[in-house]
Parts: sequence; structure tokens; C-alpha cells
Amino acid sequence: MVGYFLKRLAMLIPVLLGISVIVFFIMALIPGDPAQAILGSYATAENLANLRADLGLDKPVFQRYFIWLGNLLQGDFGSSYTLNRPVIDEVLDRLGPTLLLAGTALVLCSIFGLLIGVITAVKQYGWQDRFFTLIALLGISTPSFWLGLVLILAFAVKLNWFPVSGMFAVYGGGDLPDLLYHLALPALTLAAVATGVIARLTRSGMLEILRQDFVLTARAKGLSERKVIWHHAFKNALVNIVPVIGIQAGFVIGGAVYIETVFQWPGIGRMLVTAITTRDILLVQGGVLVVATCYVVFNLVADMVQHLLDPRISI
Amino acid sequence: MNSTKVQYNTRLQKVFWIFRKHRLGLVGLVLTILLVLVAIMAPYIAPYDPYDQDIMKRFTPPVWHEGGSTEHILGTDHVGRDLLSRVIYGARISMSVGIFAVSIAASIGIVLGLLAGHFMGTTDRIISYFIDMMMAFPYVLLAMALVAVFGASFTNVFIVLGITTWPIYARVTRTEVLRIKEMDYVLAARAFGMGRIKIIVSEIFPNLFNSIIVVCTVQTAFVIISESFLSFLGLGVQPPIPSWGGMLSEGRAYMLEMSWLATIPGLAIFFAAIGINLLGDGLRDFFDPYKRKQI
Repeated sequence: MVGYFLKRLAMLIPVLLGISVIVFFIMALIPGDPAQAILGSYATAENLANLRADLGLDKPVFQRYFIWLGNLLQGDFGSSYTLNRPVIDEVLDRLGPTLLLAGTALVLCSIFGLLIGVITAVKQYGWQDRFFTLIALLGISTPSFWLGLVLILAFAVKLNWFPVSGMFAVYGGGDLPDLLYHLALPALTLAAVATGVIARLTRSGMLEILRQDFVLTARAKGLSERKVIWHHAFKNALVNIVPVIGIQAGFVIGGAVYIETVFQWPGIGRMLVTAITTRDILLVQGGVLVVATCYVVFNLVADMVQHLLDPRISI
Repeated sequence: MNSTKVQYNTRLQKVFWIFRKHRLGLVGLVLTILLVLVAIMAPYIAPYDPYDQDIMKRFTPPVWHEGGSTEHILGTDHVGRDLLSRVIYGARISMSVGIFAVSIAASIGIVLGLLAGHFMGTTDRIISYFIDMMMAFPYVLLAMALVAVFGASFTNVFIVLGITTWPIYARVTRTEVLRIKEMDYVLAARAFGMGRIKIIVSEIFPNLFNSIIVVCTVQTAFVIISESFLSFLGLGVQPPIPSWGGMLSEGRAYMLEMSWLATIPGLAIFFAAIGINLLGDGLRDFFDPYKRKQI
């Protein structure tokens, strides 16, 4: 068991290294001179040269990659030139809200997705199956940023049940009820798409299990239908659903980019959108790397949970 | 010649027959055909030029709203352009992005998947590593960063969406190749002394078609949504070109008073995506022999 975990952990290293290479070189390709961007068009040649030397831009690109990587390993992600503060501080400040939003959405979509998946599998071809399958498909087909806008319009503007945007009220906010009040709409929007995916996969997983002999045996033993479905079938189907939830965790974090932009949620996604448009290279590199790491770690955790549920599964 | 034509007809009839029983699939098929027709026929069916501004008529509400007129059925936008015409022309952008991006991604993915699945060993390990790595990327961010590098334009959007979404095709192709190459007909081809490349081209590749066509369909919907998000952020197709995402972004500013400006382009994206996804579902059931018996 420990051996499996260590082996799985070791497999992360090449993936993370590969990601760092892609992130670095994409951003290094961006045309334009960062020194010129920082100092403006009236900068003297001498000042530009000094700043380039300060930023290490006078060195060859491969050398810059290794310097950047070396600094990363020591926890130094560089400094954001638009915000004038260390990238790591900014990224960590933004990571909390994103994880909160994505985590809540993940819990919501797992609960709804699993429930819908089981119901539709058990009632295969019944009206429940058709209804929920259609709902799941509607969820998958809805552009989440548009759904966010529509929900804002309906529940925040017209009905006034929820706030339009942000994480806390400007005046007098800051406590837990205030946070939940602000979290509800963005989390639901984010969960809507992922629910459809989990529901569909749960359905097909359950259908496969329900066809197997041990389910027939359980029924033949005279167990209640509820016990057959939840204790026998669902438990076994879960082994294959857990990695899907892991992948969804990644998608939810990626999807947070859409939702944070629409709801003005102060997370890493919105930070990255701004950073990309202002060409704040170090901030983009740091942010993308942290998000990608989260994604990889979620998948790792899902694999480990799957291994705990079914120790026969190996790499 | 004649006999193949008849065969094709019956096969087509069979598709329609099965789809008739799969009602949601049929809805998807109809919606998708409608979308393609609208995109192709845009210049003939759009009532106005999508770029024609009439500032005196700006913010005309849709016909079902108070103050709406049949002159502009879906109303006009902030510079008085006819919304219906822009939505119709927007179908062209979405369909072209869908077709081009999916073609690029599918070509890269299928080739890599075939190589990985067929040659195994080091080739497989290297390609699988790339697949895993690309899959670990928050794909939206990668697309956004690439657009920032290459500049936002119509061509760059579908190139970027093409080169960021290939891993799914590669993964599906690889899994399918691993399955197909153990089939008896492939073993038979090998026993007859057929070369490796020939086996890939004439035995394995044609049998991939079913799974790949389903992935392509679902990915088309996904790419259309992604394009609209990039355009929504201003990183996609640039105004004044009528893309649904761009229209949504322009409409967002006036959303509180004139909600139709944001809801109508959104509904267009939604119907396109749901149509294509339903079609994908129908195709999946159609190609799955176990389910085909049931429909």
C-alpha cells in the first residue's frame, strides 16, 4: 500500500516538470519586451538595459528556465510587476477563495451527480431516467459563464435573493453567513456542469454493476432492494466513479476561471485572466503552475482513494 | 457502382430508422442540421447586414417585449445592429471554429493515439506522458495564454483550440487500438504477412471510426462553448465580427435593463451545444451494439 502511494507520488515529478516547461516557454514566447512594458515608452536605453539585467532577461532562454525552476524549488516565484508584490503571496491569497468555491461546487456536484446517476440507472428507461438524463445533458451543454449571468439576472437582480457578485459584503460583512450568502450562486453555477458529467458516468457504472451475478445473488438472498442498490451495487460502482470525481475536481478548478470572471470572485482564475491580459508573465506562470499542481494532486488523491477501495488496482 | 449506391441508401435509411426511435438523438440531428443550414445560408436568410448600424434604432427590444417591432424580431444592440442577423452570422463563426478546431485536434490526437497503441514500448510511454501532462493542464488557461502569445484573431482561436484539445482523441484512439489489435481479423492480416503500416491504415483505422465520431461530436459542442468564452473575455474572435461570445460580452454591459442582449446569444450557444450533444448521444447509442438492440 505504502509502496503504491510512493510510486504514484514519484510519477508526479515528470508531469510537474513537463508542465513547468510548457508554462515557462509559452510565456517566454510572448512578443514584446517586459522591461519596456514596465518602464513605458519614454525609458532611456540605459534604464532598459539595467532593468533587463535585473530581471535576468539578458540571459539565454534555457538558462532563464533553470534559474526560474531553481527559484521555484526554493519557493520564490518572482515578483508581479503589475501588483508589485511577490507572486507566491498573491497566488496563495487567491488560492483560498478558489479552493473554497471549487470545493463547495465539487461537494454539491458529487452529491447530486451520484444521486441522479443511481436513480437513473435503477429506473433505466423509466421517466426518471429520461428526465434526469435530459437534465444532465442540459447541464453539460450550458455555457457556465452564461448560466452565471442568467442566474445573477434572475436571483440577484430580479428576486434579490442573493448578491450580484463578490465574496463578502462591502459594509458589515465578513462572517460565515455572509460568505455562504455570497458563495451560493457561484458554487451552484459551477456545480451545474460537473453534475451532468458525474451523473452520466455514475449511471453507466451502476448499469454495468447491476447486470453482474453478485447483484442477482443479493436479490436472490431476499435482501431489500435498497440494500442491494446502496450496499452492494453502489459500493462497487464507486470504485470506478471516484477517479471521475478526481478528474472533475480538476475541471471544476478550471471551470472556476469562467465563474470567477462572471461573479467577480476574488480567486486565482480571475487573477489569471487579468494577468494574461496585462501580460504579467511571472504571475501567469506562478498561477498556472499552482492550478495545474492542484489538478494533479486531486487526481492523485482520487487514485489513492480508488486504491483504498479496491487494492487490486495497480499502476 | 450502382449496387454500392443502393447499399449506401439503405444504410442511410437505417440510420434514420434507428434515430427515429431514439427521439432525443433525432432532436439533436435536426438541431445540428438546422445549425449547419443557418451557417451556410446566412447571407440569404439574415434580414439585415450584421454590420449595419442604425444608431437611431439602438436598443430596440425584441418583438415580444413592449416597444418591440417586427422590423427587428430579436431587437437591436447598443449600436443599432439587428440582433437576429448577428445571431445568424454568429452560427458561421461557431460552426467554423467547431469544424476547424476539431479537425486539427482529431488529426493530431488520432495519429499520436495510433502510434502509441500500435507500437507500444517507448513510443507509447512518451506519447502517454504527453497526454497525461496535457490533460493535467487547466485547458482554458492554456488556451488563454496561447491566445495572448499569438494574438486574438479568428484563425488563432481555432488553431489554439485545436492544439489544446487533442489529448482526448489520443487517449480514446490509443485505448481502441489496444482493443482492436487483439481482434482476430488483425491477427489474420498479420498472419497473411501484411505490413505494420498497412495494418494500421486498412485494418485498425477504419474500425476506430465509431468511437472517434462520437468524441468529435461531443468535442464540437465543447469547442463552441470554449470559443464563446474566449470571445466573451475579448481573447477570441474580435469585434465587430458577430461571434456569440462577443455578443454576450457586449450585451453584458446592458444586462440589467436590456436582458435580451445577453440572453439571446447565450441561448444560441446553448441550443447549438445541446443539439450537437444530443446527436453525439444518439450516435453513441447507435454504434453500441448492446444498446442498438434496445432502441
